[in-house]
Amino acid sequence: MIGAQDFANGLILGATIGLGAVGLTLTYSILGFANFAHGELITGGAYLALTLLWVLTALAGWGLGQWGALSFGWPFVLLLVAAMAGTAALALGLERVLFRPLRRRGTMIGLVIASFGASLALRSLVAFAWGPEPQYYARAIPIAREVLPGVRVTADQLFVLVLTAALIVALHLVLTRTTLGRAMRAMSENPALLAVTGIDPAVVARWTCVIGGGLAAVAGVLIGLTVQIRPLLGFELLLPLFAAVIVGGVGSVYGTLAGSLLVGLAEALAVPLIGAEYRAAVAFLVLIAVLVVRPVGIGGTRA
Amino acid sequence: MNGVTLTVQDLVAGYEPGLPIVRGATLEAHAGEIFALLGPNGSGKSTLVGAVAGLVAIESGRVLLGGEDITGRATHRLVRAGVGYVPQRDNVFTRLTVEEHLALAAAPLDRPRRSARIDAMYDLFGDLAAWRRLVAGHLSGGQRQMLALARALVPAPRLLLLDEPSAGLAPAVVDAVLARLRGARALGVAIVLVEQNTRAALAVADRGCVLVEGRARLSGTANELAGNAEVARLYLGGAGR
Repeated sequence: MIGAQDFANGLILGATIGLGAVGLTLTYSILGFANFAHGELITGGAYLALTLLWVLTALAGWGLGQWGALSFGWPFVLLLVAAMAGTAALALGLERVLFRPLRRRGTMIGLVIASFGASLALRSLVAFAWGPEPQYYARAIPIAREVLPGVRVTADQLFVLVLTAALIVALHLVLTRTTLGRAMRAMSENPALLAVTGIDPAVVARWTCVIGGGLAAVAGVLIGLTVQIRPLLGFELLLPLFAAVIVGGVGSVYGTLAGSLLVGLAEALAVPLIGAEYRAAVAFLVLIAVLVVRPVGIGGTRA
Repeated sequence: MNGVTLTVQDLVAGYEPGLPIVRGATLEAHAGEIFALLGPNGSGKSTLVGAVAGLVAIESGRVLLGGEDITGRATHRLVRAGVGYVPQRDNVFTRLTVEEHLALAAAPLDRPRRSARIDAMYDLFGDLAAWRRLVAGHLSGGQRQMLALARALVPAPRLLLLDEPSAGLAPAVVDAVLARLRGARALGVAIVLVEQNTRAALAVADRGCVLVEGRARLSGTANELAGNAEVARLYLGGAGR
């Protein structure tokens, strides 16, 4: 029996998928390839924040702090920003060392395989460096409160929804009100014409990595905050991310967000209906159903 | 005659190393003139302007802009140096509005000049102001060509390269596009016009050349070219004028 709680769970899951998927759709449409290493950027963000927390705890005795009902305080904001910066740097490094040289040679299949290889290498590196066991930012068990009849959520989960909404609005403003955003949209359509317009596509590619990496880091840290941190965190999210991107329409930020919520809701609603073990398959049923009705996805446009 | 803006010397360029399409082309375009680049299909006209715009690899030869060597410079740097380029196809971003096109083209300029240059384009292309909120994908072929031209003129280029601006347009629209070219010429811009429509090109051009198999074979004033028996026979459907 599906209840209001399942919808709330789906919404929260969809929000975390959304942050990762929006970054993925930007890199997919602007850099022109499916980056399978995007899941590891999510994992990387979660572990970078965890490592910084360990360092701050060891050196200065800091913890996560506490703001009201939230399980964290202002040190968490510092961790989040540092993780965004570190993950953006990681994304930039991959772009500089791996993806850009391959893109210049025009080997599209090489790019996809290289991203798969980078994903595998980074995942192994994380497991080697931090161990395969689950980790947590804090051990305290957050208390869920009833916010609507039959809906109980923790303050941290509400924070996930609010932060996701705020970041999507911020991204919308960047894409529509700034030169960088216009250039990113232009590059997703025609990189050569962007160069003819006087803007260096390589700079736009770098900023796309920074934004995609930053959003991936936020997704990783929020999953670490509300669930747990594991080396497979991003990898296991990768297939729902791609499902959300394709359902939403590659390159469409709002379409991808809608796709993420749809995938999140479908997975959450599948649990009471068919059991948790089949929830991952539901994302693909949604994918197929949407593509049959609308092949370009919810927010996609025909070329 | 005004000063030389573009000098192309013995240019060899193409899409595959060792398979040049332009094979030693030499030409000059002056400030305040329209230079028509004529020739049959596959003669290398589009490749030549693509190479000058930094989009096609140059194997040898030189490209000078106002005497400065710009050979092989990156496309976005060429725009900043004063080279404007309007490709034949896909010359607008279909999902960006008219005003976003102009804002993007103005972005490399100093901040105080940006709005002045955009306003200048709305003055030169009166209709653009009415379409400013429309995405380019909703514009007609002629409207897109006007937008592409305005986009290239925003940074006030010294040299404007146009690849087949009349392709696929109705005759009345072609006339309107060519009228805007005359306006740009009056501002001192050197315009290199690649055209299949030889009659229309020679009607608006001051000088030009005929490119055959990647080399400039005939050159002269538009009147000289129009009066040339070979040009008339091959491209104008007659025996010269």
